[in-house]
Amino acid sequence: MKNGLKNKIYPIVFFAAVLGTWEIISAAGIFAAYILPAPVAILISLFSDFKNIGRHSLITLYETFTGFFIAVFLSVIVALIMDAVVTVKKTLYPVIIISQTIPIIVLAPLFIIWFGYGYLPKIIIVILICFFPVTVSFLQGLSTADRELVDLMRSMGADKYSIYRFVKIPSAMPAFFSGLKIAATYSIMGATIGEWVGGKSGLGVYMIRAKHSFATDKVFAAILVITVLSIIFLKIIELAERKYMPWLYMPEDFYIEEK
Amino acid sequence: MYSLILKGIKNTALKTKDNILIEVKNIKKSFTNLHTIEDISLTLEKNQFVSILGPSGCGKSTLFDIIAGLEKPDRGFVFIGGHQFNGRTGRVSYMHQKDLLFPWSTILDNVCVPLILKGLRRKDAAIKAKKHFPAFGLEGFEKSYPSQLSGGMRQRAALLRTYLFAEDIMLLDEPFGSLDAITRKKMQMWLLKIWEKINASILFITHDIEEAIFLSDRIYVLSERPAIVKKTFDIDIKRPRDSSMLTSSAFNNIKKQIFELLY
Repeated sequence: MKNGLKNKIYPIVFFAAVLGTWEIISAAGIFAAYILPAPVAILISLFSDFKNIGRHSLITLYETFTGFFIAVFLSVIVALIMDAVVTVKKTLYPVIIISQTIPIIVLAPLFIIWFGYGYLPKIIIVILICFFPVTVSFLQGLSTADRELVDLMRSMGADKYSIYRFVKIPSAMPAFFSGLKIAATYSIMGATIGEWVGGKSGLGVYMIRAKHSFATDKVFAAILVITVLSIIFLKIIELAERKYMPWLYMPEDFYIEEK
Repeated sequence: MYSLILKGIKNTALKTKDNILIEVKNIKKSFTNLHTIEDISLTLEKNQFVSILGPSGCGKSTLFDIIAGLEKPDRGFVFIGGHQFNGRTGRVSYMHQKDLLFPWSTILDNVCVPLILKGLRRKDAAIKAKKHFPAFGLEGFEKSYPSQLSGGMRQRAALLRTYLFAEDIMLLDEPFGSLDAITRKKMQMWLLKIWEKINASILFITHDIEEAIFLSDRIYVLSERPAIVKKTFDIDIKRPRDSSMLTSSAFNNIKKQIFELLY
């Protein structure tokens, strides 16, 4: 713990130094405020416009979570089916891998054309962004389950359901969670970009409006909010990971001696 | 005289019908390009401790896979309790050199798995399993995770799981192979002690001659691949056994015979 704190000092000091330099540059008036507002000015505009930003944040969070949970739900089902039925895996796996190379963001204008300016196109973007990393990593986890554990279950007469319940799904959980973390990191960004392309509310819309009125401090404030929300989302998933997989976080050099 | 003959017949009948738990008859098994087992027959009787001794890679583990029903023999039969069990799982379980405990489950949850597979509810399974924790030296570690226990304790938990699956027959495949020499000796003595308590029959794979003699009533010595039974030794050293047996002349005599057979 003490060591962890010590190690954290370095990036914290570095980050503070960057902010300090930034503040000094802005105070010296090297750049106009609409080009590079000072960190303190950004914080002030964040608090003075908090009600507005808060309202837009809730919209973005709604789109993000709706998309995220639908995506995770679909991922789990698709990955389980693909793992259980070899033909389905052979058919879908290459498609999923190739489709991962499509930057989902470039599809955003299409979704606006097809689904209008409401929440739906943003939710769809979030779903697409989250679906692939979760599916691929969960599938990977399922297929790398220890063969010998599966054989042991079979020797005890376990059916397919029990093998999934006791061995395959638990052993896929670490991979599943790393997929969730990737998805969480990108999901808020996905919703925001969807809002840039067209919409009536949300942090993306707020940013575009601020940009049009050269309120660069507000653009930065929105960036700050998006960053903080993304970090919080990630941390929540890490907490869930620790809660549901305590065995993964057992100190390795510690075991109880023989009596 | 007549009655004596009758008694003899009766005894044989008893032996084949009731006393024999596992009978392996003329098993042969090849995998692509690998002729593993040529011809193996063996029997395991009630309350007997039988070892299969052979060089590494001679197909001992394949034999267990066949008995457990995970693999089908190319020829021959596996009878368990008088029923044919070729390629049928779910009757006997085995224990490995690796403990094969689930790292994501506590010790209690691990040993409950076979009971839950048999249809017990988690709560009832836990009650049943907990009764055996003291005897298996695991009391107080119900909620520990496998990674928190020493190698010997993990093997004891694995043995308890095997026992809870089938109380009458256990297949142990070099269960102490990965333990250090001292822990290994301790575990052998512990196994003998618990075996005397639980009324189970054990089929035990090892490549350690001393271990085989120390533990067994009978030893089947296998040849190199493709494996056949080279010779069968009946170990008539009285039980309960302890470490003084390891230096007795009877022990050394058998050890010498097996040694000459293998090398």
